[in-house]
Amino acid sequence: MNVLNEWAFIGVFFAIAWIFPALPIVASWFVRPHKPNALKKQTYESGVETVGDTWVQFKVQYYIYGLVFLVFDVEMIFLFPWAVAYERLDWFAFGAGFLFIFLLTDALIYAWRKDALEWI
Amino acid sequence: MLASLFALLIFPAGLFVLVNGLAYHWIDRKLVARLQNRVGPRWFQPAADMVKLLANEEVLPTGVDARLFTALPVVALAGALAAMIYLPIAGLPPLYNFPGDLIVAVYLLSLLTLCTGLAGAISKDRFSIIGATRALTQLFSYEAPFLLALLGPAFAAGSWQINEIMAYTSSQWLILTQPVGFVVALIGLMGKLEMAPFDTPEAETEIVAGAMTEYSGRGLALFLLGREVELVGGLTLIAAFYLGGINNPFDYALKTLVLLLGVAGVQTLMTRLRIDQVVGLWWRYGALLALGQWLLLLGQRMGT
Repeated sequence: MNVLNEWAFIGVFFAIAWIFPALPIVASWFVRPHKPNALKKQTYESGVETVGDTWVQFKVQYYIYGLVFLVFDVEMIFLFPWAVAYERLDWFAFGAGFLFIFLLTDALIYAWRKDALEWI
Repeated sequence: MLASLFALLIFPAGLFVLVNGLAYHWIDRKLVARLQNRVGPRWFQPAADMVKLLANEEVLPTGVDARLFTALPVVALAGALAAMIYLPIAGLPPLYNFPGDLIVAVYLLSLLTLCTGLAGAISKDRFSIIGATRALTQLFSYEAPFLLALLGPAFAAGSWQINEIMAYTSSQWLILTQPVGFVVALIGLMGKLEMAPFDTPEAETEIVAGAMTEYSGRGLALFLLGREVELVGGLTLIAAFYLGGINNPFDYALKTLVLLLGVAGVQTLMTRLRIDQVVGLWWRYGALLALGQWLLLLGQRMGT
C-alpha cells in the first residue's frame, strides 16, 4: 500500500473542507452590516467596564486534571496496537499488557484515594 | 476525479453532512420539546437560525486577537468535516480508510472542543475564560473513557480500521456483549458535545454562553454547524460499532435516530450537573467502568 498517497488524501480534504466555512463567510460579507463603534466593541460584562487582563494564574484543579488526562490518554494510545495484534501475541506480551491495564486501573484508584480528582 | 470531488463536496461528505446535521439538530430539539410537553420548533428552524446568524454583523471585541478570533471557528468546522470521510455516512462505506484511521477520526472529532477552549481563552471576557477552562477540563475527563470505549470493538475485531471493525460488527451486535462500553461511549459523546446534562461549559444561567460569549454572527454559526456535524459523526461511529454496523441508508437512518432518541431522553431526564460533578463523575465511574469492561473482555478472550 502506498502510504504517501493515503496521507495526501487528507491534505486534499483539508483543502476542500476550508471551502464550506469560507462560503458562508463570503456570503455573509455581502449581506451583513458593518458599523463598528467603540461602545459596541466593548468586552461583554454585566454593566460595568472590564478591568485588567484575563491571563492571570487561577484554577489549580484544571492543572491536576490535565496531568491525570495526559497519563491516561497516552497509555490508551499504547494499548491500541497491543489490542489489535492480540491474536498474534505470545504469553509474555499478553502478560505485559495485562499488567499494564492493571497498573492503569490501580493508578486511577490511587489518584481517586489521594483526592486528586476532587474539585478544590 | 470529478466523481471523488462530488463525493467529497456534496454526497456523502460535505454538503450532505451539513444538511444532515441541521436535520438531526432539529429532531433533537423537537424530541426534547415534546418530552417536556412543549410544541417545539418547526422543521426549518435550525436552517433559519443559520441564515439569521450569517446576516448578523460580526462584532470584533476590543482586546482579542483578530486573526485567531476569525480563524478558530473555521478550523473547528473544517476539522469536524474532515473526520467525516472516515465514517460510514448515510450507510455508504467510508470514503477513505487506512490502518489506524479510527485514531485520526477521533482526534479530528475532538478538534472542535480544543477550538472552543482557545476561542474562550483569547478573549478579555471573564465569562469566556471560565467557559474555556470548563470546556477543556470536560474534554480531559470525557475524551479518555470515550476512546477506551471505542477500543472494545477494535479489540473484538482485531483491527483499528473503521471499515474492518464494521465488517466484524455487522455479524453481531456488540451492545449485547459489551453493554458497559456502549453506555460509556454514548454518555462520553454527550459530554464531548456538551449536551444538556453536561452543558456546564456554556451554562446560560451562570456564565452567559461560556466560551461563545463574545462570538456573534458567522463565528457563532460556524461553531454551531461544527457541533451538529460532530453529532452526526459521533452517532454514526457508535451505531456502526455497537448496533450491528451500518450497511445501507435505511440502517443508517434507523440506528442513528434510535440513538438520538436515547440522547434526547437523557437530556430531558437529567438537570444540568455542576462542573465538579460532571468531571468527577466521569473520571471516577466512567473511566473505571470502561477499564472494567476491558478486563472483562480480556478474561473472556482467555477463556476461549
